Amino acid sequence: MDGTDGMISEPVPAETSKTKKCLTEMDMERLIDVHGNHLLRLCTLYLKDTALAEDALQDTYIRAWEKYNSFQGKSSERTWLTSIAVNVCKNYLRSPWNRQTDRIEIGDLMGQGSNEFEHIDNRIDVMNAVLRLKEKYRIVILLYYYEELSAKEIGAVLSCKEGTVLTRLKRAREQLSGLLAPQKEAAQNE
Amino acid sequence: MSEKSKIDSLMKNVVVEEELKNKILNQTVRKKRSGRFRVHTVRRVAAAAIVAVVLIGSVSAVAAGVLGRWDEDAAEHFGVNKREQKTLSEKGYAKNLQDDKSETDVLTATDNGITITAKQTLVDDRALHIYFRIKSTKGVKLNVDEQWFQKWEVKGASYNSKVGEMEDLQKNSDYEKGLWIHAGNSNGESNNIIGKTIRVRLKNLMSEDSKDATVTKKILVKGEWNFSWKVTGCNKSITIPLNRTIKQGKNKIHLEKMQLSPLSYKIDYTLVSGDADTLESIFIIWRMKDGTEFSMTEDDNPNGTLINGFGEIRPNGQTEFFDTNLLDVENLKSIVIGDEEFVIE
Repeated sequence: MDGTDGMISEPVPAETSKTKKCLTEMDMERLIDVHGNHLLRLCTLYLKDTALAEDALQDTYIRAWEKYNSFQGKSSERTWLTSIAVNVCKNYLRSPWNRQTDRIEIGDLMGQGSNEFEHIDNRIDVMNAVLRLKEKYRIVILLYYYEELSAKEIGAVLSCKEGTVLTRLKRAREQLSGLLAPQKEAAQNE
Repeated sequence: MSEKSKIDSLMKNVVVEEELKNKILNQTVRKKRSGRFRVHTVRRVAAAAIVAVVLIGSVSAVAAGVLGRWDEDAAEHFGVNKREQKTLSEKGYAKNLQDDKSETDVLTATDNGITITAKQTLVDDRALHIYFRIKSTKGVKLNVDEQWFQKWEVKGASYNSKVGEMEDLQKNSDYEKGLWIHAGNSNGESNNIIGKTIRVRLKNLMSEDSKDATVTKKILVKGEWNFSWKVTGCNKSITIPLNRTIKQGKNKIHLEKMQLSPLSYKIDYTLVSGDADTLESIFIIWRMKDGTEFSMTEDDNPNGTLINGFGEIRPNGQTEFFDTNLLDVENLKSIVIGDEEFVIE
């Protein structure tokens, strides 16, 4: 990892330098092409809803477009967008209206043509266990393992202390172990 | 292989399609920045710490002359009596879609023996409620506990909160049920669909045995049901200036104002001092002139909240929608926020 304070840093391309006040269409296309897929997958796994995730992605880019002139480059572009996406998703989840999340499994979220992954049982088991975590544990797992952020960066994204992140990671792993124990035992008995 | 790569491998079919990309571009760089995301409020001058309410005045955006009788089951869901139904229809919030249909409205769709009809809407500039009737005509039994639609989309405005749920009718039937779609924005941004054409799509009726967790879910009825109509509603809210700073532990929050309609509320506030991480829920209670207290939902969070457990201060205020009861604004006596009561004069 390069950059100061342990943060991942990426050079900001000249055409999206912070000296510009707003994004051009080319800039926005680049942001979508480079970051869109991983943000969409993050939103899908966090919200457990593909349609809602697409809405969240739209809202994320709308906010990024509105706030671009305040992006100071202290974090990487990816971390900045991830932070926006997480906050958008949190807004969605906190509404008492989002109740349709009880019966979601990874197969529901993998998109068309997902049958080809059926043979990867343990990976699917792990993801299903992740989806069963409470959202505050699920998001730290996703940000740590999928977005590959450090605990400090996760704390910045979630507006909480690094120690809180580490505690939640520990508890999340404990819960995952508990959820996966029956599958592990079944595999050993085969 | 890293965990990230494994997840990407599993999710490799979840990608930003060209259509989604264009939607994003159309809502950002291809659109002029002309206050698109600003909330339009009706401002009134605050008299003093005890506030005065400004009543809703003229009706806006409503089909002229249509008072509308409500669909009975929609009325039952929200517990609105005849007087409230009439008031909400007259003011333009509520519309029975079967009245005064236009030729271009698509309110009924049938696929594989399931007929769905859009019956009732309730709309303001923050919240959207649509009520459908589902009828099964080929022997498939309907069950609200074990069935749901795999996908339901609302197009015409962008909402960040949506929920769809089936429910039993007053006259219980295995072959006929109701379906609600509730949508809105919880981040305080206005999302005015009034006057625009809405498109709703429902896809695949799913089923699962709720008593047996090992039974996998399945598509009970494969189908797609599409609807569209021009939305009417009312975008008038009353604005109640609050202008009071409240305390919660070491935190101080300045309450600026609340905007209220029968369907939703929005509250603007700022964190004056303290730590947002330590903020906890501050409950809001609406007290009515008849001594009752208005309840938002039937579950364990019966009231609105100023700040929930995340403690995030939203730049555009916080919006909540009423999903099982509607606020009888004209009979509102006071609003309690935390330990402070604001009496309406």
